[in-house]
Amino acid sequence: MIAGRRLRLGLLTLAAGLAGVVLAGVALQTAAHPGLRRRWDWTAEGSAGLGARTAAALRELPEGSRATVFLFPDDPRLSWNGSAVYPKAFARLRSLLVDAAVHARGRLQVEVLDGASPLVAVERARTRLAHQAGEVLVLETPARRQVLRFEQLFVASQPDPRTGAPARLLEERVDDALGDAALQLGRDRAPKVGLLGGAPESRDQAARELFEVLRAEGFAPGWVETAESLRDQDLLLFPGQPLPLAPSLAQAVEDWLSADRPLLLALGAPAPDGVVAAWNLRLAELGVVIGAGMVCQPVAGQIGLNRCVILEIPAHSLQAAHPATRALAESGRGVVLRLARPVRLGAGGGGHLRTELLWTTQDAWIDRYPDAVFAPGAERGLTTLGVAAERLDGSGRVLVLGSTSAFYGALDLALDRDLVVASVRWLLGDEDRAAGLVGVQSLPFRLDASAAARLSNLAVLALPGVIFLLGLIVFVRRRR
Amino acid sequence: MRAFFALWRREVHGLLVAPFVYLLLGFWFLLNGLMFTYLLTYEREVQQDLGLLAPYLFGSGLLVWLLLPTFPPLLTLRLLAEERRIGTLEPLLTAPIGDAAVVIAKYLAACVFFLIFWGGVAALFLLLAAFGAPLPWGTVAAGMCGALLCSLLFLATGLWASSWGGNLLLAAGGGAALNYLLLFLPVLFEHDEGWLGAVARAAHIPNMLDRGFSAGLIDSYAVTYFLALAALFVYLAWVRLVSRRWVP
Repeated sequence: MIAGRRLRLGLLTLAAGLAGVVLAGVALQTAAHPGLRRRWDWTAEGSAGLGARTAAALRELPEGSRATVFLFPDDPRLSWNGSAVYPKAFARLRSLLVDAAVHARGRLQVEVLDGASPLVAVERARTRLAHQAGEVLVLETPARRQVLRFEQLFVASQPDPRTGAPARLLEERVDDALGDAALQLGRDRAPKVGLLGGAPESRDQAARELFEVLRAEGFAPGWVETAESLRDQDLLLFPGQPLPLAPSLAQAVEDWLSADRPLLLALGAPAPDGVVAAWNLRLAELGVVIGAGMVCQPVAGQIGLNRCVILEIPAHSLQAAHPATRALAESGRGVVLRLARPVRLGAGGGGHLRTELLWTTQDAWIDRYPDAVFAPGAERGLTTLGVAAERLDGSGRVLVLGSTSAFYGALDLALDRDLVVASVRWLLGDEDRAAGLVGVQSLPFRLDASAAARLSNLAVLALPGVIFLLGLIVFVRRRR
Repeated sequence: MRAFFALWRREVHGLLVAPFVYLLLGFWFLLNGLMFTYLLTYEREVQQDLGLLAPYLFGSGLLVWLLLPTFPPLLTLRLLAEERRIGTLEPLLTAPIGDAAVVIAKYLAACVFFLIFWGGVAALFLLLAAFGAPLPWGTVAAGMCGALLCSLLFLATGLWASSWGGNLLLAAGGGAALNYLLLFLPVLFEHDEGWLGAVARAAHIPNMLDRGFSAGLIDSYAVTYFLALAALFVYLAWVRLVSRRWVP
């Protein structure tokens, strides 16, 4: 009888409990509905959440979209001397991505990977996305992908070892960058990048590595084989040209330039003279001249240690005023170019705005290629290695680089990836917009020794002490 | 209603004259004070940017992982378990007041009393402001709001654990264990690709605090989560108390 009562009691209690659990589950399911979910921003700047433009772009993402965030402090300069750059930037990203998932109304799955994440999960994501150092956010749809690097999301000052001042987070553009990426992914089609020229023996390699980089940025790369297939492209890219173009293709390229369509041309020191001469003719109107020979410079200014095959171009030798090199120059990162030839400004027709993008030191000189002998009469001094030109209205963008190495080989691509990507973006009119930058409030505060001692005494001794005293009084009074 | 308020006042008074509660409060103030001064004195990132104080304190620090899960059950253990142990629960349940009112009055008394706990933390921020620190008050308020909502949930789990019997150790330990389960289980399964991962991510309290409240963002889902679960555990405590009468 008692056992039967206990059983009935247990079952009834269980049923009542389960009813409560179901009710709570329904309430939570309803609250989680994207249409009903709201977020309120209590920060002083009112910028803790994503803007309306980004929210709308996220809602347009296809089902199955994912955002993977890698929160690892890759640049030791930004962590030096207790810098708050990474903790603050990562806290901001964590919060904004929750906001992004809410705004995407169930279309975006967010995965945050950091030092506390299981190694298996981190490695799995790194392998799947071919993740490289510095890449923070990968936004992807089932078909395409956009990769955002730390420098594209945040602007930080550099640390000063002389004064001991650590790096500081100055500005951020997470909202705009996320919006741009979502808009690009939401487009009907990815901008087509047509590749022409290129060394035949390294085509496969370029197709694998360069194509991977371009696809990661939301572009659709492909080799152009005929004049007809050139017409469908949005950007023409020459990662070197070892042979002259077939007449039909040469005519198509000239038509392309006449139509003010964007071109990225890279010709290194090994490019044949005939090819260089043909390009100099085509680019004469723009005022861009591709020079002869191989550029060399001493390593770190030391005589006797010369570099011709590999040129290290530091950040201060990159143009900070041009979108193609701005991010590199501002973040203090240089590029590495192999077998480079000079690219200079020429007379031109006067209808183009031209910018020198990167240059050597004053100690550079030009050797003959391939025997690396100083050519009599060859010039010495600062040598330009890349030039960008565009019409005054922003159309007809052309960028010429004096080296092809940025487009080949995993190592060079990793080193010069930002140069390639920023150049392609600028040529397609997708360069970063400074308007998206939002100031980040920094609140440095350090107590002097006496103030710290007073605060510590009040917080650790006075406040708890008063409570313990009150407890003692209550205890004594109750005993009486 | 008058009986309800009388009972609520009795519960608050009971907490105010219990020396054990002052001991608890004193330790809460002491540990929070230690954490606060540690962050300000030794955490260089916080010195570089006070905007990190709220995320470090309310988002991912010891407060969330150590103090929040353990202190509320210590406060609630006496609400039902001690009454049962000293034999005053039965007379209370036979008094002319609904059983639900008894449970809610006890829970609300604990909630109101826990505000004093949070008052101590707020006092630390006021103290810091008095020293001239430029504080992001919106973020601090949001972080505190999240921690307060979390403590409402943990007080409710404590109340439920207190309803299990007259054993005070079981009440306190059970409540703390439940709180740790609520904190840890979602962390363990959040990377699962299936439905378990989806549930874990939706129930991830540290993420709600770290990526929402302590960043200055109040999320309607997180608010609902804390309140709905708190209501569920209060309901379960009521079920535990009254279910014996359902079967004669």
